[in-house]
Amino acid sequence: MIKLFRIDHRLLHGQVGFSWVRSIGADCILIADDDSATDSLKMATLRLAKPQGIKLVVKTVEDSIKAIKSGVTDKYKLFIVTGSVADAKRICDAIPEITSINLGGIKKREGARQVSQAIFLLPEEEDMLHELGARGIELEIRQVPTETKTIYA
Amino acid sequence: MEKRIVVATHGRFSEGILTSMKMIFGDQTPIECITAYVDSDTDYQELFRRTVAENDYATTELIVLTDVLGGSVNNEFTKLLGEYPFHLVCGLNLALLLEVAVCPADTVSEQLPSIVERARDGIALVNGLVGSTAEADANEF
Repeated sequence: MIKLFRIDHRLLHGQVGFSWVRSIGADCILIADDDSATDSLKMATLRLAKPQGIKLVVKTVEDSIKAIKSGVTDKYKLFIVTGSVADAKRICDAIPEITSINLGGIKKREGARQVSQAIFLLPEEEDMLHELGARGIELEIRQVPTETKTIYA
Repeated sequence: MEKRIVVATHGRFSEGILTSMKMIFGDQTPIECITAYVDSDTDYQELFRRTVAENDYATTELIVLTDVLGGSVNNEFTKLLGEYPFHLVCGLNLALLLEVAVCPADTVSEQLPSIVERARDGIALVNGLVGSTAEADANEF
């Protein structure tokens, strides 16, 4: 089952591998990111960041969707991390079981609006999130589990 | 059983590592810090003694983390080990602090050896590691 679905441009780092994994009791992390799945140095870097005792799978967004749909991930307490709103939208479009998105970190870019300390959104990303929100998907902003959820509206 | 963590270092390392920890872990475990020898008017030897003497060992496990083996902070706490049953770990790093922070109080004595081992594993020459783990761990469910 999917325990948490997170957008974080840094993908797998301390907040993710240490704090979130413990807080939600995940036993498997799926990084759904095209660059990481196809770039061997990025892949190796993610493997180094793998927490002990946790399974780590890195796949392209398309392969991630296929894997989840096939049922092979059902036996895991799965923690999915993806790097952008656009990738998250693709996954949510294909996987209706996702009912909540954790907005963990989206970096500052030209034309992006600061929504919280770590979340910066381009207009087209806000449109995508509004579409997801309109479907009833919870959009909650938290860097670490101990923070209080702020709902993006 | 309760748990009490004291981070004691030369200078402001202890304060700094707590800000790093909060960034990763949030603000959920109270940790005391001692910035030794920063204030020339403070008797730090006395402060270290008071820190371990005031602990109620019947109810509270005390874990003191110091910066470096052979440094005076660790040396002074080592001298107090004969008098008080606290845990003393040197070689502070962020992995160690995080693991100690999440360790349940009841299992501190039992788990500290493996926590120290894991924190030691976290010190590595990364150049040699890149690539070695890429194939070692299957990337499939």
